[in-house]
Amino acid sequence: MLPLLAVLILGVAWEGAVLVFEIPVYMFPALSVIWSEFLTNVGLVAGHTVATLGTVMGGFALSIAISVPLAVLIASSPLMANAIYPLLVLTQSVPKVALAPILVVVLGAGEVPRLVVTFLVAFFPLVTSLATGLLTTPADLIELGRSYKATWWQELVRIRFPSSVPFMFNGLKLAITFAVVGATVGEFVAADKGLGYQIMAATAFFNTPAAFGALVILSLLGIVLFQAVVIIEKVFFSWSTPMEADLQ
Amino acid sequence: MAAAVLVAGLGFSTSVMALDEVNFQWSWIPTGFYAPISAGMAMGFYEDEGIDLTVSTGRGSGDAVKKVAGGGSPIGDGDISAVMSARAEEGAPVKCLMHEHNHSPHSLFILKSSGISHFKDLEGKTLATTPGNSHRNYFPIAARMAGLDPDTVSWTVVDATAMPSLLINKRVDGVPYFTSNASFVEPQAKAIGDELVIIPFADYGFDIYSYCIYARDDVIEEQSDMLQRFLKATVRSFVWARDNPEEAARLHKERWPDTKYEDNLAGWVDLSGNMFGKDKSKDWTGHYDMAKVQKTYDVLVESRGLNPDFDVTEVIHDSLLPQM
Repeated sequence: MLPLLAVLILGVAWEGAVLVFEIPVYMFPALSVIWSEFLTNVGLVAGHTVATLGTVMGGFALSIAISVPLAVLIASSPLMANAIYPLLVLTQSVPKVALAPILVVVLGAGEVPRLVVTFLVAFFPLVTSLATGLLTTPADLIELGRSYKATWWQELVRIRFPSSVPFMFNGLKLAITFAVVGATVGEFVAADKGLGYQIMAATAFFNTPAAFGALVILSLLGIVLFQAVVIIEKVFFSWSTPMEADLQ
Repeated sequence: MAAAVLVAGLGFSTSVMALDEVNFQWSWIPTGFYAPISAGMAMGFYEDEGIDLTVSTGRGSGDAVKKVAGGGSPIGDGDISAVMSARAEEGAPVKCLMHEHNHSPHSLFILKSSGISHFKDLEGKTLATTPGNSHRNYFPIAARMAGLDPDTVSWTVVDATAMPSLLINKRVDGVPYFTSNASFVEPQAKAIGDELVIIPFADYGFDIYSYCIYARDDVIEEQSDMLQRFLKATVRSFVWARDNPEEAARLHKERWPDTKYEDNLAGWVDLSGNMFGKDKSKDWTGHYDMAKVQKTYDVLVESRGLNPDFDVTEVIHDSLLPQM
């Protein structure tokens, strides 16, 4: 209830400030104007949203597919960790906005460069969280497994992975949020559809309400996807989430 | 009967398979400037030439040239200055096949309330521009032609999206734009009770080529037949859009629903005036006048310090254009 009230107050303050200070629509449109623009072009916005969602989910899936084996490699030995971590940090030091145009030249103007940018923005927190989870598996559990002569694979799948579920979901929550940012960066650089493209085109066409509308949808998309990960965690891995009583 | 259906079916698939899939890399988002291409696609002019055309929007002339030179698309469009710079400075394998602008569409947008009506009035004023904007490079030359010392004008570099707001809010005295962008800024000027005034660089004799359609060297060498057909369909599209501007603007809106019909029409009418003359009386062929190409390059040598010994014939290949 409280979050809804906070959003409502923000909305009223937004609308009121635009009216009272007579802020021009091209600088900061009122919520009512953004809503009206949205209703006029709801089909168009839906198309752009679906395009962005596709890139976000594709990049997110790519992040998972690459992060899991990487995290396992990092956790496998200090030597591998020392070899891989500097490279991971290197990928994060390069500004993706600067890298995206180069990727487009190398990989073409299709979906691939957008997926790669999304992956590059999203995968790092997932790798580090999962690696931390795998490395901080309680030692007594590992010892127990070894006393039963568990193989490396059994130890990984039956002990280390279940133990690192809370860390993994921490990484997944960050990754899905960053994936929205990554997809938008990719669409800014090369796309003919998607919310990032819509923001750029609407700004260039001097249609500020449409650009703000796309921004709001992007924010909502981020919130919805984040909550989806939270729900998946609660439903399928309820044993790993702290009980409310524990937090009090 | 069954055989007839089979033959018809085979004939259909053969004709579909025979279409060359070609991607046209635009240099910018789908403004009305591109209405003829959308119209040509909708009218089937490219299919008539055996081409299944797709387009990709770009983020500036330099961006588009890089994508084409890098192999992303065989054909692109953009300012000839980007093509010349890429070829002369970095050896990028791209050549202009036809010109779209007969003369420079570079201009300065100002508000009537500023009292500025001539470049000479800009002394001591501040203009906003984007990083690497060609207007910034060309301005000193146009200013000297107009009798203004360019050093008396200050420039502030901003993001492209901030430029119109800075003008409307009177934070700067002018912003440089192609004349075709007037339809986006004009309503905002009217909204604050002012009027938009456009001062084209060409008014002071700044007469150079601007936009062109270009292709990579290997495409010119190995797919000249496809390029000839592409150019034929494109010229046909331009001529058709000249005679049917409203329909072209409508077809463009249909393909690009983010655009507005009025903006599409205004953008195309502006370019159309540049190509065919305001009264549509000029003959436009897309062929180059090499003396004017040299003049265009000389401006780049002066404004950007390009290699003065570069042979400009290396960057032009207009022999694939249909004879009109």
